[in-house]
Amino acid sequence: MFETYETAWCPGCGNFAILASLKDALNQLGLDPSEVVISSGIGQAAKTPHYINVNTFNGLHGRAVPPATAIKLSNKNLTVIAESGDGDTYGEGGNHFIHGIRRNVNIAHFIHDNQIYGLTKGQASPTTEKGQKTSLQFNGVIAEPVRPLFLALTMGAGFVARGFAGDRAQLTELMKAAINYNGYAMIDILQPCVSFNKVNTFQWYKERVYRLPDDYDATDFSNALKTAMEWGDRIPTGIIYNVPRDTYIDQVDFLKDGPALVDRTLDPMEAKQLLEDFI
Amino acid sequence: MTPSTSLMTYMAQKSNQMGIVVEQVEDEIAAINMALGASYAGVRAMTGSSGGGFALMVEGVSLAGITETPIVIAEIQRPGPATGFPTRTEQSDLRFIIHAGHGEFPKMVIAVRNPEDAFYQTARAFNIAEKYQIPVILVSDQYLADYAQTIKPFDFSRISIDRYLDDGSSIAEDEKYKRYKLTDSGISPRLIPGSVKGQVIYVDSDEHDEYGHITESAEIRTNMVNKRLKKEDLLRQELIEPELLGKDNPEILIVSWGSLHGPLKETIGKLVNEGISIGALVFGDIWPFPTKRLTALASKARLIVDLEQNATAQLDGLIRQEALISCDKKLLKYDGRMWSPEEIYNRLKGEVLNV
Ligand SMILES: Cc1ncc(C[n+]2csc(CCOP(=O)(O)OP(=O)(O)O)c2C)c(N)n1
Ligand code: SF4
Ligand SMILES: [Mg+2]
Repeated sequence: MFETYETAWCPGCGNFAILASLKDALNQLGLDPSEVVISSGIGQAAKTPHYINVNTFNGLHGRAVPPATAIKLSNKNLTVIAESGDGDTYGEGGNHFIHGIRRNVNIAHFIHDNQIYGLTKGQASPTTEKGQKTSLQFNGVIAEPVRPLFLALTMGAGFVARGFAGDRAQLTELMKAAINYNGYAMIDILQPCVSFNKVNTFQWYKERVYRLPDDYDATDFSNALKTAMEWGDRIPTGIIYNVPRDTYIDQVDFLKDGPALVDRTLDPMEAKQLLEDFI
Repeated sequence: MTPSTSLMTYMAQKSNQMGIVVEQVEDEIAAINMALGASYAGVRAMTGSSGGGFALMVEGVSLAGITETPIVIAEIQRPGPATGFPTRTEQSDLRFIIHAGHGEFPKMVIAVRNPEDAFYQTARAFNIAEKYQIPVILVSDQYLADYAQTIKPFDFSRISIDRYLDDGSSIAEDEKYKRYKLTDSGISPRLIPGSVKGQVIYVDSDEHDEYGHITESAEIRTNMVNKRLKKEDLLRQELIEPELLGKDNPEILIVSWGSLHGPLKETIGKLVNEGISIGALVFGDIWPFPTKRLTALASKARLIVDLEQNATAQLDGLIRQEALISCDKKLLKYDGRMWSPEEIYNRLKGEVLNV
C-alpha cells in the first residue's frame, strides 16, 4: 500500500532501515496513504516521502515543522509526520524545532541524525562531535554539539525518544508510539551516513547503543534529563520521556470542537457583523 | 512588525466573536511556511508583514511559486533600508516585491489605494491565488494602514469565495493523481489531502514531474517552467486597468500608485476646477503591469509626471520597462511623511504647471 520506489540514496545508508520501519509502522497502524501527510525539509532524510506512497509537502531546508503544524491545525483528521535531517532540524530549522515543541501540536517528528550534512557532501551539522574533521572543517569542529534530546526535554516536550537505524524492530515500535502520542513527539534516529561520516559508522553505534531496560520509568523528568545527556561510551535508545500534555488543539475550543477547518463552510455574509463596530 | 501589526491585533480582538485563532509565531519564515502548509491542507491562507519581515519570507514566496500553492501576502511598507523609519511611511518596496523570490514563476501584486479598495481587493486576491495557484501580494503602507476615513459600508454581497478545487472526478479509475498535470492553460486540477480515498498529493520544492516527484530530466524541467509561466497569460486577462482621476483625456497626466490615490484625488479635483486639463492615473493592479489605459492616455498627453513616495521613481522605471513610455518629470518624496494634498498642489504648481 505504501509502495516501493527507486531511491537516490547510497547503498548501505541508514535511511533504508528508517524508511522500512516507517512503512511497517504505518501498515501496522492500519493507516490509509491518503490519511497520512509527511512534511519534509531538504536533505537526504527529507527525500524520504518520495519513496513512500503518502501525501507529501516537501518544502524548504529547515522548514519541515511549520507546514506540518499548519497541516494538522487545518485538518486534524490527518496523521501528520515531519521528516528531516539533523542539519535541517537543529541547524537551519532550530528555531521552528524549539517553538514547535512549545506549541505541542499533535505531530510526530522523525529526525534522521547522521551527525553530518549528507546531501551537501559532508560538512559538519549541529550534532557533529567537537573536534571531528569533515569535508569543510579540516581542523575539526570548534563548536559544541547540540544535545537534541536534552534540548527537547528542556523545551517541554512530552514525548522524547531515540532510535537507531540498526535496530529496526525497536524503531518501528517507537514510530508507532510517537504517531499515537497525542502531541508533539520526537524521535532522534541515529542514522549512519556511510559516505560522509567515517566516525559514526554502523559499527561505532553498535558498540555503544543499548535499549533502555523494561523497568525504565519514562515519566521521571530528572531521570530523563540524565538519560538524555548520556552519550559517548554508552548511548541509550528507546522512549526517554513520555507524559501526557494538553495539545494546542486541546486548548482551543474552536479547533477542538466541530469538524476539521477544511470541512467547515464559510459565508462572507457572516463577516458583515464586524461592520457594525464602525456604524 | 509595525505597521502591519494592526492586522493581527484586529483579528485577535475579534477572535472570540468570529472563531479565529491567533498564534504569534517565532518568525516570519515560520509564518509563510505555515501559511503554505495550511493552504496545501486545503484552507485559505494569508500572511503579512512589513518590508523586513517580508524579506524573511521571500524563500517561501519562491516555494509557493514552484509548488503552485495559493497564498495571499500583505506587505505594509515603511521606509527602509533595514529598520529605517519604523513608524513612518514610504512606497519603496515596489520593485522588491515584484521581484521577490528566486527563480522564475508568476505572481500577482496589487497595490491597495484606500480602505474600500483594500476590502474588495483582498477578497479578489484570495480568488485569484486559488484560480491560478500562485502567490498574490497586497501592497499597502503605514499611511494607509493607520489612517481613519468615513466611507460607505462595505457591500458583503459582492464578495464570493471561489475555491477552484478538484473533487477527484478528473482522475480515471486506475489512475494516480497528478498534482502537476500538464494542461493547455498551465493550471492543474488541485486536490487536497485526504479528500479522495486512495489518492495522495505530492508537492515538492525540487523540480518535479507531473506526479510531484523529484526529477533531473531536462525535458520535464522545460515543460514545468513553461507550464508555470503560461499561467501568467491568463492572469493578464484578469488585470484591472488603473483608475483615472480628473479629466478624461488630460494634457497633463500624473502617474502614481497605491495610497497616493487619496491625496491625489483632492489635488486633481482642485486643479480641474481651476480649469487645468489634468488627470492622475493611479495603479492598483501593478504586476503583471497593465499597460492599455496608460498607453492610450500617454499618446494624447502633453506631459507625463510620475509622482511617488520613494527616492528612485520605481513606478517610472516599471513604466519604461513594461510600456516603453518615459515620464517627462518626476515628483518624489522620501522623508517618511505622507504627501499631503497641499504639498502635491504646491509642487505641481511650482515644478510643472508654472514653468
Ligand atoms: C536555505 C538553504 N540553505 C542551504 C541549503 C543546502 N542544503 C541542502 S540539504 C543541507 C543539509 C543537509 O543536512 P541534513 O539536514 O543533516 O540532511 P542529510 O542530508 O544529512 O540527511 C543543506 C545545507 C538549502 N537547500 N537551503
Ligand atoms: S550521503 Fe550519507 S545520508 Fe546521504 S544517502 Fe549517502 S549514506 Fe545516506
Ligand atoms: Mg544529516
